[in-house]
Amino acid sequence: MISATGVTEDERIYRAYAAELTRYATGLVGPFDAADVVSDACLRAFNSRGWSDVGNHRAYLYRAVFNVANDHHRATLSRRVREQRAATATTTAPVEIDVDVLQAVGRLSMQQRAAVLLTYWSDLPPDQVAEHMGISAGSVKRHLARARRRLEGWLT
Amino acid sequence: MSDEQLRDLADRVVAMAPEPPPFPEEVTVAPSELSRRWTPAVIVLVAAAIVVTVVAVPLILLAGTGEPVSLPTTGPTFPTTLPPTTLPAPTTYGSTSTMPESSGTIEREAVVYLTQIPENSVLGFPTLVPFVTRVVTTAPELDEDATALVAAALQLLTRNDLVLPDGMQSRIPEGVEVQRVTSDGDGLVVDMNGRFVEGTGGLLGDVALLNQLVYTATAYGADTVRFTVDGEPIDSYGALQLEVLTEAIGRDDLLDELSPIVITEPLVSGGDELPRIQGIANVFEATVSLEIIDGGQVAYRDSTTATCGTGCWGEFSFTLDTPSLTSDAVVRVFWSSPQDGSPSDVVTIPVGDVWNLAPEE
Repeated sequence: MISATGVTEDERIYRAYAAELTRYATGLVGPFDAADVVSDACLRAFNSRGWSDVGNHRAYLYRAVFNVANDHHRATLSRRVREQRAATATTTAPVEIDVDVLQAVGRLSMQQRAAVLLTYWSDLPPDQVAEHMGISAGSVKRHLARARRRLEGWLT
Repeated sequence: MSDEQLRDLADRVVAMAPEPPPFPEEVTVAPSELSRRWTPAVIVLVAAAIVVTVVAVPLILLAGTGEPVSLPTTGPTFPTTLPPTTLPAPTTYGSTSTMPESSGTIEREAVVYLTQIPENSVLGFPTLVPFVTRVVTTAPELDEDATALVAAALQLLTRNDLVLPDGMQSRIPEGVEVQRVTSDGDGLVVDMNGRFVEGTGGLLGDVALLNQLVYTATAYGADTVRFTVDGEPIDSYGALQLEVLTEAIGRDDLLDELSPIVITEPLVSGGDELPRIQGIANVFEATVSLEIIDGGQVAYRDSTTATCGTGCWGEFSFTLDTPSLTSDAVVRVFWSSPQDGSPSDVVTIPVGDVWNLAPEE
């Protein structure tokens, strides 16, 4: 659907949520891959068969970003396997922004990162965090508790 | 770590966010155009290329593959309207203890994962199928991560005298031992003996071994497993000296080396509830099919849509609304070739309740 201003409904939705989705993706995969993850997630969402029936676009897009970030994480590990298989060394440009924070986040699983970001940055209650992650509220609490334990000692 | 520190961490990581990317223009491609891009002819060509280039590699790398595949000439037909998938909560096994065996030991039911090379496999990668079996533990109560139960299940898998169901294999080489299973608060720590890091002698076998252990270890509570050898971290693993065990790994981490349909919950045919088949799949258009073969005939047929597909992994679930299954029946889960509808990557699940995988000692 195209509005009188020539902006499609998908583009309107995208403009409404792109910034916060990018910040969310940054917390999941880091600043260098966040934009790609958001673009990929939104493309998948807009092209999915069920998109026209989605009621809560924001929650749906958050789940899409999480899924793509998770695939990105898996691909990274699998890529490590493939790279070693080919016996080729790769080098990564040194990160010069808040390295401590990236290292701290790197201690967390993808689910733990999502639970922390949605709880402490988005200020969502557990039931809404659960909806955004597509899991139960009990699982959210478990991920938060484990994230807390895993970060014990950070900054101390 | 306090709420305030977590909030600070979240704020600091989000502060590094770049500018949002521009609106992805590709979405303006009309669905019909997308469909045309993925015509059956293109899919067949891509699939053929994958088969030609990839099948030979895993066959070489895999130590001990399964039966030769037979290609069916015709495929089943399915209803075009698929029911929506609802994922039931996972079943928990081992939460109730059974009769005391002898002083200090308790017999429980535990889930272990075995491997299988699916029939008519496109890539030749192994898959996983879980089974409920009896194990003996020394712990009267289960802790949060059921470490004693997991230890008993893993130790059972390392036995070299397992009685495996038809079509199933274990990738754990002789001599590998599970020495200790503990919880470190983040997940499980599984301490192995030195033989473990030698792997199976081939890349896919090495990864299948890891997947078999990780899926079994994470059947209860824990999300991740960190492997150690004699209490020490593992720098490299397997024939290719992989560095994948330097950190904890979970079920999602090595999916790319598994067949595109993986069964995640054991099929239990007894009891009052209808049997269920649950798993994950990364298949064309997320469409997963199932049939039950009993007495040589197709006794039941169904299909469903996974929560994601064609390049991403999604969950699927079947509730088998059928009269009780006989022990001769097998359940086949597969996806259908877009070319001719023939079943691909067929996972065959034997029907049973509690399996006695370890012979009496």
